Amino acid sequence: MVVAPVLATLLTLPAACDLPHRKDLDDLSKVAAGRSTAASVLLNYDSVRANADARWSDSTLATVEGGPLLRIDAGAYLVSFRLSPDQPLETTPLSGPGVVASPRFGSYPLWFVAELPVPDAGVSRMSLFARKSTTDPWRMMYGPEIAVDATLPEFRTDDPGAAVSVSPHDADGVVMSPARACRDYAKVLQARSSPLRRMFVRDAFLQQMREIQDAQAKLAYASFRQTWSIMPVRYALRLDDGGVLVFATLVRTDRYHVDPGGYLRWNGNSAAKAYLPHGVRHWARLQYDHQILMEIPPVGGGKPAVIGQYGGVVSGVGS
Amino acid sequence: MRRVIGGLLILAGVLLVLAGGVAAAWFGVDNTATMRSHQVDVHGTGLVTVPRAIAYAGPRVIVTAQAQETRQHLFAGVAHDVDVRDFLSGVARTEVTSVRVPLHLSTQAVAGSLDLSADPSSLDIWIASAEGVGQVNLSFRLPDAADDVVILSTDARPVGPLTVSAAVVVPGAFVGALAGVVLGAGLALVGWSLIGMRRRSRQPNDTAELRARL
Repeated sequence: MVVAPVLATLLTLPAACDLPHRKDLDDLSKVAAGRSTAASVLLNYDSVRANADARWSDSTLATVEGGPLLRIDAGAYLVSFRLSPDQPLETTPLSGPGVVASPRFGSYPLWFVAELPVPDAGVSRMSLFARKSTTDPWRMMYGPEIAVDATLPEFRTDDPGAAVSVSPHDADGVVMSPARACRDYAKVLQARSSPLRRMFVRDAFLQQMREIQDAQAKLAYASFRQTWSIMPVRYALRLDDGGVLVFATLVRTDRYHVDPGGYLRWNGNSAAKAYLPHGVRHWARLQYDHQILMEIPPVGGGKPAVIGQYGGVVSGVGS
Repeated sequence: MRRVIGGLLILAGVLLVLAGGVAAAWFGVDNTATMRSHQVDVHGTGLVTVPRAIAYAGPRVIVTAQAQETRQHLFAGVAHDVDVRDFLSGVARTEVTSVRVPLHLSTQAVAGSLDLSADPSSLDIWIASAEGVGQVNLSFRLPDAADDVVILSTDARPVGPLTVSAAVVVPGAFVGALAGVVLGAGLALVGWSLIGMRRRSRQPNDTAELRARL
């Protein structure tokens, strides 16, 4: 007779009480963003982006974008405004997020990576959002695009499921450090005969840039020179196979010297026309920012390759 | 042997009844155990716990802070230590380095300015937050992460002395305590019946012995 209530009490007692327990305070770091934070950041980005696109407003866009990505998109606004003033930019909303990879941080700034499919464009943006401090908003700093059907390498995660960031100068387990890989890649882009070219896969980005160089070299009445440099590399994540995925920005400068008596003008569809609408008689200098996503394989796993990119013209001067 | 087991069960049952009774009286029907208040002289803009000050997670707590100046605007919030350290970087404050129960706070002053870089209520870092004039009440579940509790003056002047009290809310604590009383009473009854069974089982033997003597 007594057994039944005793058992019932024993079974319900632990569930009834939210009992205090000691917590683990060995690790005081935090994951920058979980899936729900990433989704909320993306929702805000999409909403602000649509508003900014409708008015070509780079100051509005600056509340959700930063760094070279903002320069590229502000450049796109200028091009759109000058070439098609009656036709506002069409916003392509991002969806997802798909994969969210966030390292752990002991202090600000924080950052995380989210794969954001753009179904209408048939691509995915590997977006990197960063936050400088608690009083700053999350801003998209990188947004290289990869083909939506491309195989995205898997990120390595630590025990609680956080992604593992890699120092730009860390070559541990990979064929070269992220900083060196990006610097050498820029050298290969600049000089097609560079011996460093054997160190990289002849990827789609490299081929596209070679085609541009070849086309511009054939210009009549003008000489063409293209130079490349690299902005400091800050963001890299360890991949599951031991490789590294790097976000970097390459700066491309196209210089034209027009022969005496010659004239150089760009056709109606060219972004350069927005900066130099009347063409030039002497010289021109156009600067492009290209955000790249480079996969550096582990030692013995092949050569580094650019697997995604996003870029555009950011300035143009000439006379 | 039965007598020993019965005695032990009675002892355990009585202890459980007493413990359950005390717990039921402490928590009451609102499942809330209130600790006595503690006055803290706050240096700078606010009072902030360091992660190691709150070593336990689990129950919901209600922290009440009352300023001496009744018109002072107060903000209370809970956020991860990484966020709190960034937000209060360079801000004069008093850090709570340990919390003992019943409520006693050990503190240390940190030098800095009185200005906060933003209105704390506008930030998205808070797991729980509350505002008040002269007094603020903050209710939150003690988190498993390295979170800090902050109480700040939001009108750019020193907080001054704060009277802080805390209450622990454990849902079902009153029912659990009563269940403990019932369980204790049950154990005591079982123990009593064990001893009683031994007494009853001796009676026929005694009778048989008496018959043999007759």
